[in-house]
Amino acid sequence: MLIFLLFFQLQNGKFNEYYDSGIQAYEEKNYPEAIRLLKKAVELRADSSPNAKISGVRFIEYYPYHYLATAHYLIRDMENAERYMQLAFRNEEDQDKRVAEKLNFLRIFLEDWRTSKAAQTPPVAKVDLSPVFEYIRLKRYQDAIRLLDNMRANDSLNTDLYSMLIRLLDELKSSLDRTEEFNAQRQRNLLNLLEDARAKVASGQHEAAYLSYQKVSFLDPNNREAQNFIADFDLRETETNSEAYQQLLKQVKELRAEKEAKDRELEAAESATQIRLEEIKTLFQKQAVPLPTISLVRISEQMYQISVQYQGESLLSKAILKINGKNAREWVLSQKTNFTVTHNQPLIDQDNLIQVEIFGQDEHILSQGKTHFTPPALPKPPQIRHTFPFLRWLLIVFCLLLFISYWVFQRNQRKAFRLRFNPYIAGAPVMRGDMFYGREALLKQILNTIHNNSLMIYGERRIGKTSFLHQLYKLLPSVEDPEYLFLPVMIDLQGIDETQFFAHLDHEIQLALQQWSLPALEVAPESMDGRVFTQRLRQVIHDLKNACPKAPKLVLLLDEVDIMNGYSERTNQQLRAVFMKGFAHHLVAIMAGIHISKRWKSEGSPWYNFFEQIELRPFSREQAEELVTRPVRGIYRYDPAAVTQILQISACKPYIIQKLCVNLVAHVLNENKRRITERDVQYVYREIQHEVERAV
Amino acid sequence: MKRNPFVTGRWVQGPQYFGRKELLHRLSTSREACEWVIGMRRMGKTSLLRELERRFHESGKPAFPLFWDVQGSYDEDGLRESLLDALEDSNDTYADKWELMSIPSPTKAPCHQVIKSLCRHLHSHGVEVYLLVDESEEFLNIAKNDAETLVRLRKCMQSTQNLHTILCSTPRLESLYKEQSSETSPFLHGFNVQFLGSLADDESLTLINQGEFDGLTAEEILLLAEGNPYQLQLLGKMQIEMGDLHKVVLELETNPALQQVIEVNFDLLTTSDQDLIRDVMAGKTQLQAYQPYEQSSLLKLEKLGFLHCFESQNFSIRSHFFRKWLQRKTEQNPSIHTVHVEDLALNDWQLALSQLMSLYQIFVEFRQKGVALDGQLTEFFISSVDRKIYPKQPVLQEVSNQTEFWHGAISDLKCLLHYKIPNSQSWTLSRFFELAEKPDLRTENEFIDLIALIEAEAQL
Repeated sequence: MLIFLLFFQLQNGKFNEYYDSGIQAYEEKNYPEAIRLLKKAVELRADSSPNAKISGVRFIEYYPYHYLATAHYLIRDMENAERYMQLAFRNEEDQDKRVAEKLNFLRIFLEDWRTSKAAQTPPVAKVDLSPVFEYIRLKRYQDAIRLLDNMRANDSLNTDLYSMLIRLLDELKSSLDRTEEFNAQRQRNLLNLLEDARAKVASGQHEAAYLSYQKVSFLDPNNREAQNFIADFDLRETETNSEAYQQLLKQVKELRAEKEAKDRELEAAESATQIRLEEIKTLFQKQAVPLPTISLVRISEQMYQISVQYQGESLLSKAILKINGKNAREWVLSQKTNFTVTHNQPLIDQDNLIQVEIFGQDEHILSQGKTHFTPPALPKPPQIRHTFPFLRWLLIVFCLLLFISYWVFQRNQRKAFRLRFNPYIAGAPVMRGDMFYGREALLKQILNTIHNNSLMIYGERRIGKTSFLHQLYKLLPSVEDPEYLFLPVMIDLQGIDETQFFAHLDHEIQLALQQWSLPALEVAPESMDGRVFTQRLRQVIHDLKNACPKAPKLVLLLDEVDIMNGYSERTNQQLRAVFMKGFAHHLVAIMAGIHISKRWKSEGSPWYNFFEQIELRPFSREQAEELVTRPVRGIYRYDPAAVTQILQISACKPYIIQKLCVNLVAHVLNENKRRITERDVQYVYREIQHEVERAV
Repeated sequence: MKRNPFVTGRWVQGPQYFGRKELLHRLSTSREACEWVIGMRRMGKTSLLRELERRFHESGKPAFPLFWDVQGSYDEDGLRESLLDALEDSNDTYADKWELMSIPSPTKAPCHQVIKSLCRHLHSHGVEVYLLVDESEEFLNIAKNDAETLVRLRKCMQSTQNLHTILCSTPRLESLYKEQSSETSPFLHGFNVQFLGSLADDESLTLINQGEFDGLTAEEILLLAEGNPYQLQLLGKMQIEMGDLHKVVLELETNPALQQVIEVNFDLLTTSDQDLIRDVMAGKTQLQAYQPYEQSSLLKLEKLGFLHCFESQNFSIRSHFFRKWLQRKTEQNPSIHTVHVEDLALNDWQLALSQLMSLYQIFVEFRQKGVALDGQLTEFFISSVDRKIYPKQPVLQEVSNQTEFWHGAISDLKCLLHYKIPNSQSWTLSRFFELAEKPDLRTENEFIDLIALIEAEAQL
């Protein structure tokens, strides 16, 4: 069964090879070959299809019949063109818009061809007159006339010829009639003369009988009775040679002269008949010179192919095609007696006069033909939108992928729900990139400016400063800066005493060095002032410059810098002095805090003077919505009213959003549902109201 | 977003340094032993010294520059520590030059000795030493804490043969003489003063063109910053980030960093200088309108970048943002006004009524500070510059247990007017007096509307 199916598949598979090859041959204008191949394809698979399967998930458009129809048309096999066109329609190939257009045009061209066929010059004028001639030969002139009448009625005989023939035949007929009358009279005379002669013999009037028998012999030279009597009489009379006999001979002589005159008359009549017959023969011969056949076939909207066919017996020299009185084409036809030529000509929308003149060897016109042709109007075709086959492929593949994605998505959705998926983070800083929302623009802004500028990020509590620094920490090493390699160091200043400040900075930097596989400096003293820190930092940067492929930029990410508000001005100044050093090209800081005290008693510049300050504000509405809905897209669904309420309660502050959402998801999981409604939000808010209000 | 070329967060040097060609030339070719460059905050003092340092090193001339940041020194020990720090930094940055000149490691001697020792060594190589001192305001602290050190240092700076000293500071250092004993020469005597002001237009344009902005945008930035290098950098940086100059301007008008710099710089001025600026803001722009001693101060303010002088006669506030800040400051502190001799005491109460809102704001200002201005005892004057009414030497009373500050302000205003205009023929004024009896029964907006109405009536 399998083998059979495989065989069947293989066989069917082969059809597309013939089909493809056939189309290729068609496009190369090798129409006979195209026809051959397409027919093979049709033998293997007869029915057309917009999605013919060839193997697996491979499908093609299979419309062989319209190709066959067009190919046949182009080789002027109109019958087959018509036939395949009908097959194309029967197989609904016109369902495809492109094919429908082609078939429409083909139908119109075939119609035109049929119309133009009727406008051809009369067929080859060598009319078969042999039956007429046969009748003439049989002297059945009336039948010949009748036949001619029939031919005339069928338009297979032109008027001139007919008239001439009829005239001749009438004369022949008349002549024949006379001859027959003459012969009839002669026979009667013969009988009468025989009776008369016998009567005269019986009555002993031998001399009178002799004359009668002589007349009989004139009419019927082979008459025995007359011959015997005349012979006996001559024998007897020649012995006597009487005067009466002489008188009889004299009368016979006179009768003989009369007979000869009559014979001459008959001969003249016979000659006339012969002449008539010769005339007829000449006419036939004349009529045997053919006229050229002119046919027109439409090949495009305005272009026509004019075919001229001629079959004759005389040698030709040239043929000239004239259109509307102007020479359009000339063909040299030396040593040819027949030819078929074509010429493509655009014809305008009017009555066109098409003439062909054929010249014989003597350079005189041997034959000529003409026809009138008015091109029929073509309907305006609708716009064809080409759809490329590969788009169908893409669409199929895309749909499949969509279906698979949807299935996988559904499966993941169910799995996530089973595993009580809750991605929100409330409390700890957001370390994961996929849960960090809303600050992409600011991140980008900072990454584009950090090579030149230190920054101070400030904002209220729980607005996301620490999470922001963590994201920078993650992103900085992979920034493709043309000049620097960014090396971030995350430093949390919370709870750091002033006396430990520089030591703490140094310690964090040393830890980072270990992470980058760089040797740490020698153990730092327990307490460190700004000067010692600067010296050690200088050494670190020196080592980094040697170790890094690009110029290093140490990025100090300092969190909770508010604590420095409680530090002495000296410490603050020493920190500032670090950034004034020559190695400061390789150093930049991003500090995060709620508020930096701007009470600067010192005469000199405060350190924050050269830090650009950027406020981290609550999310915009769009950013807040994204934080609510995106992490759980496809797994849980928020009602729009629920989202609105979350944003309202949270004032778009990310921490509160996360807090609400983490509790909302826990709540709906307990309820064993996936849809989060306004009511759920109200419920959860009541549960954690005190926390939320404190945070707001 | 392309890499942002503008720098607002650190000092600049080399290809990132724009302008100051004339000043740089003067400083690098000066034969003076001591130069003092005065510039406001964020005008580029540190960058100027760093650029000089780089140029000296790269010029090929026999010059050894030493950048010395003295901030936080406090005393001799601190000064020495900061000097040693500077020497270490120089060694790190220009190690090859140190090696070439075989400069010995500094000892832990007093800083003037360290400097002298360095100068002696380099003198033997025919090298001039350029001491580039940043944050020189620190000398004010040193003068307080260790005056002797300052004297020794001055002597070192003034008398060491191959030593040239270039100090950079804000105008604050001018008050150094107050900290010093009258028996010694003032530290800054002998120092040649240079001012670090705004960039010239062509220099500003070169800086702006880093951002590859279209001509119109560049022109607008030029007009907004008017040569202030920090504002130019900030505008350029934010224009690249935001793309809309209008939004950038709105953002910067309230930008805390910029506002703070402007405020600090304004506070660094003396009171008289601040008054001069207020006068210019009020409309007193002609040089001739000022006294001779005021004229020189105006020219100094112009050099410092606060004012713009055109046609050598007229002054205007330099920079859009400084102008906006001043406007806001004036609106927030309407009681503050420059006092001029020509100012007359207020006797035109029709004028007072036409400025009733301003008077109300004066009373609000004090109430917000927790004091009440006694309108009966305080003398009000009319400014000869802008015809604004202000309290000269306001008489203030401590206020306790006030509910809403504007309640008190309304009452104070009512007292003033009632005292000065007992017979009111204006219905609106009568209405004001009536409502002011119990201001807590109305909202502040209602009073403000009524005040605006009275003002409009008076102006008619």
